[in-house]
Amino acid sequence: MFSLLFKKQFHEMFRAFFYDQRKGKLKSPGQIAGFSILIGFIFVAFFAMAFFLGFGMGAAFIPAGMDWFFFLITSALTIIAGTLGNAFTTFASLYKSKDNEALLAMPIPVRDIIGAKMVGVYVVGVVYTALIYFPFIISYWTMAAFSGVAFLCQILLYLAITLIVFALSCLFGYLIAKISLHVRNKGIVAVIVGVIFITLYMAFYIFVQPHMGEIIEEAAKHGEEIRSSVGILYDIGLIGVGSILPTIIVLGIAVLLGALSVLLLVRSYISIVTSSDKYKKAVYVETKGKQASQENALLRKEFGRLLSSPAYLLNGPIFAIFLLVATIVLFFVGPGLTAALDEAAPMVPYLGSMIAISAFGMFVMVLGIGAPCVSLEGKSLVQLQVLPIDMSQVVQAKLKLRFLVAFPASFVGAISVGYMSGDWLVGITSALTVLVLYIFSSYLDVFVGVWKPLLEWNNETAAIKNNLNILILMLIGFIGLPLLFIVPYLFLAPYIHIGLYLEVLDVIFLLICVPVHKYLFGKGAKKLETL
Amino acid sequence: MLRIENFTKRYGDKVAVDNLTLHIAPGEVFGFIGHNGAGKTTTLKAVVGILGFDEGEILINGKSIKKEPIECKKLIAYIPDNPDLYDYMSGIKYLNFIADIFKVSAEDREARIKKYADAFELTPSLAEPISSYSHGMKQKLAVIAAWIHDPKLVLMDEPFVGLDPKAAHTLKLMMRELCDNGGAIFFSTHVLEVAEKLCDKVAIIKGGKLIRSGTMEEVKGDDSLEDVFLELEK
Repeated sequence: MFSLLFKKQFHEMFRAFFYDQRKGKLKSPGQIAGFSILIGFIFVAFFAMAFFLGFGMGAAFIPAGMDWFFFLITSALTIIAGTLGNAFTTFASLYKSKDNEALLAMPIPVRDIIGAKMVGVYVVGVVYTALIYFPFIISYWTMAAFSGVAFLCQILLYLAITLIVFALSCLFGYLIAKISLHVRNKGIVAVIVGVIFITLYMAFYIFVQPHMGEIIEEAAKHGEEIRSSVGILYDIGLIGVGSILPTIIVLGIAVLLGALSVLLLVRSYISIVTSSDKYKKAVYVETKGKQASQENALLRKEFGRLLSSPAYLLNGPIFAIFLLVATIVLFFVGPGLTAALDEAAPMVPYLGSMIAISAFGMFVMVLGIGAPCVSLEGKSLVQLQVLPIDMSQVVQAKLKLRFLVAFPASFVGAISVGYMSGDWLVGITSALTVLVLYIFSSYLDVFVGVWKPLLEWNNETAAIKNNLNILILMLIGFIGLPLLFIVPYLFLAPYIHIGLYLEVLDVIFLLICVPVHKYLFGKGAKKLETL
Repeated sequence: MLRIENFTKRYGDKVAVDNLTLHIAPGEVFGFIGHNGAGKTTTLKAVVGILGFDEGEILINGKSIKKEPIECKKLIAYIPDNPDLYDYMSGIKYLNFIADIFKVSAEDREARIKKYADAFELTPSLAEPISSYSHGMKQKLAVIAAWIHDPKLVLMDEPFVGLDPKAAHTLKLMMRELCDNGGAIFFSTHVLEVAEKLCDKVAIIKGGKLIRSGTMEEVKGDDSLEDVFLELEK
């Protein structure tokens, strides 16, 4: 029974690779290859980011004989990133899956049902952690002398990390499920968790990050003192350099944590999944109805969808809050960054502004509001198709939602980026570029959602994440924009004013928006009529 | 009210509905009966405008569903067999959403919501999210949403499934009232006793082809509808 369920789970997870979800048919070999290459690009981008981070840390710690500290930090980062990336996925795939009731109604042991789903959670955690951990390891080996024992211990450490991430993800998913039973608006749980995370991250960024270089330097200088004060953490860090006993102990603890989380979830699963909500029933009070326009009604529907779904909120829109906070911070630190970069690279003036614009573009591109907006309609799409509205009105509502959610960060971003340059002409052109990226990213976000929707899904996370759309946006945001903004400018800076360069790019982006707009309100809307 | 002329729908080589012609006049409750996969849902979806078709024409009050879909949809309401309502909305929010789309005035929607929600005893649950509703409650909400804009033609796919006897009786009264006021109902059902008691006219479809159509008396004569249906299915 378990093997059957596991095959079903596996099939669901990787269905997007092999099936055209819209047509329900197997993809052609070319399509599968194309999709795989795209995934590969995204993985390479993340790999590169983690590698350079690891390289930076390794360059400070390894020569100072603090390899153990390197592994301690990188392991902690991997666990944090893996857990946070997986927590809400766990909640959605274990507790909110559409097939839960059907499976529970069948003569299948509960442990087999949840066991198969938990294998899925583990596999997702493996992928997240591999993307972060292995680049760290590779960066380490570019600086340290190779040791077979150390390498083996690092692999076992990875195994331990995957089990710890699995255990923590399960625990978070369980806690979120328990809290959700008592909360009417599940989205609030997601927002609170997201805001806490963002606050902690920004606190780290504001108070610790500026001193990171000093901290690393001091850590390298005072290695011996630190080592004697951290106790057991030192032993854990030694795993990375080939210490066998801590490896066995940590792996044992990780296996135990994994087993305990399986036990907790198996025992509590059926009571949570079959529980009715424990919050007080809302009392209906007759009030005088108000008539709203069709446009407002559709927009309100979109907002309602967004705010009701923790998975939707946490897999994209919460970045809008992050971006807003980041752009506020940029207002204060931006001029300093400009001055520092102008001093470091005088032949590339206003490089700080260019980097800030590119960074804004990266994050505004992946807000992920439009990309799943049609997919999340699921089978409810027929509700819209039977109404006396043009589907272009539906597309308009989705586009408006995207514009509205991204607006605060974009508006503040434009001011901050404009201000940081210290030059009025550069400031205006930079601010304009930020606004153009806001418009361009909004169109593209909704375009990918309308172009390739995924209407058949068992849990929301599949509609939000298992989507070619998100990957395309990440590719454009994390690779395309830096390549367009920063790389050519490094060579062209001596010959062309940044303002002119930015305006050329603005025109290109706006020109791209024209056919995208035409598609959305033409063929795209038409497609939604009979999808 | 509704004219289906030579309607044909193909899925690849398979002909799901073959040259179907039906006319439904104002004031009629029209039943659509057939075995599973006969083409009932395909026909209903084509009339509603959510399924394209290969040949023929479908006219609602003289307007073509292909050429003037929005004008046609203003006149009709559709209740599928398994309504996939917006789970994240409360019942009242959903009704207000539908009312806004159909541009129902505040006074009219207030009166209709009160009338139909009270009739279905759904009023106390209107503030709750639809995700907490049972299937029957969702069905009732779908019916209220269909009636909220005072449609001229209501299309329903197995509307009585999931409704308790009292709700089913309420729905029958609502259907009769709508038809007495000049509207029409076109619905599919497997419950032949309901069709026999409720319908003015009935059509039986088999393998995509219309095999019998007419008034209840013309179709069943002295036999029961069930006997006629089973005989035709042989």
